[in-house]
Amino acid sequence: MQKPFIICRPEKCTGCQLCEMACSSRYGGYNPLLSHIRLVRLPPAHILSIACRLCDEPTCVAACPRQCISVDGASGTMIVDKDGCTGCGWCVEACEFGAVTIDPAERVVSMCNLCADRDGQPRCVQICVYGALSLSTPADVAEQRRRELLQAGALPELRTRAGE
Amino acid sequence: MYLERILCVDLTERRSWVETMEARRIQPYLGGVGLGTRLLMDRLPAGADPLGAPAVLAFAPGVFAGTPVATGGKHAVVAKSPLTGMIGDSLSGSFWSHTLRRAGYDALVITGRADELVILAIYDDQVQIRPAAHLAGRSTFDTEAALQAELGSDQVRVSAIGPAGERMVRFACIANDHGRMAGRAGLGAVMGSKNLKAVAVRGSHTIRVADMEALEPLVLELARSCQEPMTYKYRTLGTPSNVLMLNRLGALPTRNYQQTTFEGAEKISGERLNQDYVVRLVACAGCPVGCEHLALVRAGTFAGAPTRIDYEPLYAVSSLWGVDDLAAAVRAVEIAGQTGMDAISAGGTVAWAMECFERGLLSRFDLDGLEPRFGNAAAGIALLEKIARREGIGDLLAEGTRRAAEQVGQGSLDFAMQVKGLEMAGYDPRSLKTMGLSYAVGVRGACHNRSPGYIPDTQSAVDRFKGGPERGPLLVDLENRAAVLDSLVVCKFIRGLFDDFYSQVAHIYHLVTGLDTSLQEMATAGERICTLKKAFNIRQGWTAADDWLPARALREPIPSGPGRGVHMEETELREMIASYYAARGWTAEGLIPREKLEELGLDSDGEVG
Repeated sequence: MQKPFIICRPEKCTGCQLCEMACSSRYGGYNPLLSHIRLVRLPPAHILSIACRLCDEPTCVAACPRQCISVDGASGTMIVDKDGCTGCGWCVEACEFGAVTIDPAERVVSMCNLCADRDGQPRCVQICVYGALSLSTPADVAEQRRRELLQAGALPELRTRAGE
Repeated sequence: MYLERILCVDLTERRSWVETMEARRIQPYLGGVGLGTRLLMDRLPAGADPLGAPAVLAFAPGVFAGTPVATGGKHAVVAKSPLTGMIGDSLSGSFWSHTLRRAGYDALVITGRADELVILAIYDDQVQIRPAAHLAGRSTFDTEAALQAELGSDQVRVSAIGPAGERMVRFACIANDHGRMAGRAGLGAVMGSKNLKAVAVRGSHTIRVADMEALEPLVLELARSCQEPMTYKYRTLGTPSNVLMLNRLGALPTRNYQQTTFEGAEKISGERLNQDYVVRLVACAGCPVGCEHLALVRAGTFAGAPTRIDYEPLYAVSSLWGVDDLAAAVRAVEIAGQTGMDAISAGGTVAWAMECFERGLLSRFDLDGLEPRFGNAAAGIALLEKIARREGIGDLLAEGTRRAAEQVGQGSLDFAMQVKGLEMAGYDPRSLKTMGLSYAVGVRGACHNRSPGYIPDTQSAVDRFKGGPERGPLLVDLENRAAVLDSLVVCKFIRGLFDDFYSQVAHIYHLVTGLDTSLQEMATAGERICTLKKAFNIRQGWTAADDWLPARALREPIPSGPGRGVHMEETELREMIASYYAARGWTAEGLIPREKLEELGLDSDGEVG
């Protein structure tokens, strides 16, 4: 069974960066550079936030020369052995989603753990008042889209395609 | 918490240093506009040339910038305005504001003039002045993209001027984050006078607050309330919904304020804009409202790139020009943004030129072969482009309506719709009389943001067709609140969310800064900031004659529509102004008594010269 992770729906995301602020708050302050979820805004209108997608065959795990990254069996999140990690950055390069970050203070790799300390209430999802972020599987999102398609009564206008 | 660090840059000497400003010294002015005004007051002598090398240009984010407090990601830009010769304080927001704080500064103060076009690149404690000849003439958007590429990261945030700022167009703006503008009062010209094309900032520091545990639930609650009905207007049709609202009230300035209803209003309405041109909504960094309407004209004569549209820029290039073509209006706003001009003043100046043309005061020859009759959108757009380059007639129009009218003469100053040199904001002062008072006494000139008299008028809280002595106290309260919003900084679009404004923002301020404050102190800060701005104006040569309206508002009754026959009586305006000065505790001449300055802790700010 596929495990849920943080998914951003680009048509709902306004690029407000509050997810990055909220994520970084676990360090006792606010700093997007410490965030596991990262916002991308390509002007004028392409917007998406990206976090670890809990790959079945994670390229970050394969890339680590010291075998410091493993997959948590229950949640599917990546566990980093901080004592072994030297911050070499191969896993950062290997991740095709750009979802691996290095903590600039500790110089070790850091990835989304779905706010394990908060019992399934990720900070980023909580602060996303636009409803763009959810803790879901791709199948959940597809189901949601199908539902919204019918609720709207018609095919939605492709307004988010701005600027393409 | 305050960072207590002010980054100072002298472009003449190519030198930068950090000055300490203790939290207790910033607190009376909060941050943003208040802090910027304080820095300007302390550093700029009386009679200084706003475009001279010693002129001061201050950038000051609010103390909520860098935190997730809703809409706190904003900064003020403050200088002596080259358009008005008085206080020029303008707000912008988004990533740049947060980033300057993360680089470790509560404010950035720039003086001097570089001997070539340069950019300022700030990365935490590293401050570089770099040559920028390759950016000369580039649009605001291009400059931003080019600097992100050159400096190697999207985390580099850029405030830049366009070609209009480089040529010191007196209403040039400063743009950041692809479409946010410190728009009014010509601050882009001040930046251009310093040969400073852009300020690129990158910051790596963590922003801390005094009581995170107590703040976090409030942050969430405020963010959620930003999606509740109070902000509905901003999240749906957006401020362009004002077009039809003001048209119904007979307050939609049309053809340079010759009329106040526009037969083409439906065609330029917010409803039509959203239906036909708005492609998506985006947010400033740190904002849970998400009001930015990106409009795109995909094809035809006026096709362009997506651009952000609000009511005031829209009005200034549509009804004010007698233009009912939304595609043309969107394109005109885009050109203003790309070239780096305040669309309100630029549009207003073009509307004035249109009237001059129709009255025969400016000929086709004067206008480089153009025939800008009202309704001629293409000619209006051509004039915008000429202004941005100061080409031909654009050189005169780049001076703004007041200076241009002084040169053209022949009664054209009577219909130069400005106060203190700043063009009016899109609310007719005859059918919105509290707004008329706002325009007249506003320290920034004819502005709707610092002095928002349109609020009671449009909400039918007063008889909008008739002024009265109760308007003074009403306006003072609105201005003081606006000053607190502009200094904390919190966006005006969430002002409606607070039941008990001063005490709620005081509480958030306390949790963020760790400083003790109170409802009363917060209210006093608003009064202090408004008074300081007035003291600045007095020092720079303000006289009572500056608090007045253009002749059209006083002598020409509205010809048709709901406001038919109404104009502003001189006695009516005098009575309102007197009530305003009295409510401020100023003298009958509009000067600030020494006791008032002392009461507000502004003891030394009354000195002129």
